[in-house]
Parts: sequence; structure tokens; C-alpha cells
Amino acid sequence: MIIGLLNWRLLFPRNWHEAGVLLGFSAVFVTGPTLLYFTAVRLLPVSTAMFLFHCYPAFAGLFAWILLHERVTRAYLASVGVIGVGLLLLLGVSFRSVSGIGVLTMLACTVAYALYAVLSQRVIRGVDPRTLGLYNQVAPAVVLSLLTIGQPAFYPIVFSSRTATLAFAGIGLSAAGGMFLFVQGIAMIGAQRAVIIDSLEPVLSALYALVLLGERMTLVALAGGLLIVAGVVISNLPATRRNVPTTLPSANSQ
Amino acid sequence: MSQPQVRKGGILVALASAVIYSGVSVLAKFAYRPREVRVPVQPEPSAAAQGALPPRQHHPGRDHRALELAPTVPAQLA
Repeated sequence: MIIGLLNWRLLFPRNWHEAGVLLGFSAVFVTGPTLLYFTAVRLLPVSTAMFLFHCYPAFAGLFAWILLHERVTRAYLASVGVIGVGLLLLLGVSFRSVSGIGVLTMLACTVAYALYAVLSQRVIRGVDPRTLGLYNQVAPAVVLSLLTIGQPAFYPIVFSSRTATLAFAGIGLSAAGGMFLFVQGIAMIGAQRAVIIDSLEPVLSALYALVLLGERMTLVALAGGLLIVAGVVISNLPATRRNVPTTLPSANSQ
Repeated sequence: MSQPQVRKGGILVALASAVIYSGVSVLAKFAYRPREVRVPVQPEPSAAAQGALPPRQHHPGRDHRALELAPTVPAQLA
């Protein structure tokens, strides 16, 4: 609504074909990861879930190499190594105490989201990122409405207690507001910088979980989580003259 | 607006996005909590009542309070 008020032209794609592609793409690649994400959050501690989710750049680089034939840089390989060590530390120390299904669900979400991140580069060629942001909200809403036909429009659990009502309202506002600001940020400073700043998310989530839910991480697990964040930052650092010639052959040349 | 101002504004906007969005998972945990905690309290069934009504089961997504408030009509009369 805010985007529409600011500039209504951004809400509409250039033609029907583009609208269909954006709707279909968002319906599959946003709804799927979203469902997996909330399932995993239910099964895992918030901090573990969020750090796991933020491994997605490792998979995104792999998909970009396979599908878009982008070059694999040494910075990317270094980031995958750092993320891998971070994962071992994060899950290794608490492997017996966390839900295996939760970990697998979040990893599936991570892979699906990475696929979304890579394919969206192709889908949004020439499209304003704010238009995609809008479709990312509308398409899952349509899909989930269709999936829950016959259920009460206002699901009883939302009003089961004041805490639940406030929590659901907060989820809606945080998700929509966060997405809106992230897309605005991309438009202002570019995706690379925005993603680096976005990698603060799991750290902040761990902090919120500590304060609000009393979830404590062990020092080793926290170190693992921070390594994952470091890996994300490494993979998104702007290319310098020093690392440009060190790119490895792309999938194209094999 | 000049380029440095746009950049500064963009960084602040992206930071605000991270601060806001990172609350989603914590709020989701809050939303799940009452649902997981609110297990309907069932009195020990008497011997006579056993077998007359099927035991209540936990159906994810269903409002147990609604079930509890519903008139208890024996299955054979419904």
C-alpha cells in the first residue's frame, strides 16, 4: 500500500506475460520457503534456525554457477569454507539436543530460498525490485488462501489469547515492513551492500531470543553462528583488483 | 539528494529492515507458544463414560476451546 501511494506505476508490470511470470515465480519460490521456514522455526531454537537460514548464499553461489554459469570466485569458495566450519560448530555442539527434522526442514528452506535468489536475477531483468517485492507478498497470500479454503477466514488460533493476537499482528507488520525496507534499501544502495547489512539478522534474532525467550546459545554455537555471518559478508564484499583475476573457470567452460 | 546522502539513507533503511525483520522468527515462537501450552485439561474419565465418547485428540490448528464449549451431544443422538 505504501509503495502504491508513493508511486502507483511501480505496482504494475509492463505486460500480462510479465505479471504471470512474477506471480507464478513468487507463488512457488516464496510460498515454499516461507512454509518451510515457519515449520523449522517451530521445531528449532530461534537462534539455530536463523543462523542455519543464513547459509543460503553458499547454495546460491552453487546454483548461480550451475544455472547462470556465473564464475566461482575464490572469495565465494572461502565463504563456503567459513560457512561450513560455522555450521559444524553451530550444529556439532547441540546436534543431540536439536530436532533433526527441524534442521533438515530449515536446510530445505535454505536451498529453496537460494534457488529463489538466483532465479530472481533472471526473472526481474528490467523490473523494478519494488514490483517484485509487491508480487512476493501478493502471490503467497493468494496461494495460502486457496490452500485454506473452507477454514475460517480469521483462524481461531490468532485470537486464542492476547499474546497470540499481538504476536500475529507483529509477524505481519515485521514481515511486510522488513521486506518493504529491504527492497527500498536494494534500490538505494544495491543488492550486494544490502545483503551484507541483512546478514546482521541472525545476530539480532539471537539477541531478541535471548532477551524475550530466554534462549541461550553456548559460546561454541555462537562462534559457529558468527562464522556463518562472516562467510556471508566475505562472499558479498565488493570485488577488488586483487581478486578479479583469481576467478575459477565457470561451468560454461567445462 | 546527493549520492552520499542516498548511500547513507540506504544503509539506514537496510539496517532498519534487518532490525525489524529479525523479529519475525521470535514473534513466530511467541505465536506457537500458547498453542503448544494450551493442551485441553481432561478430567480422568469415569468408567461409565469410557467408551461412550471417543477420546479427544490433538488436532493441530483446531480451537480446543471451541470443542470444549460445544454442547456435548452423545454420538448416537447427533
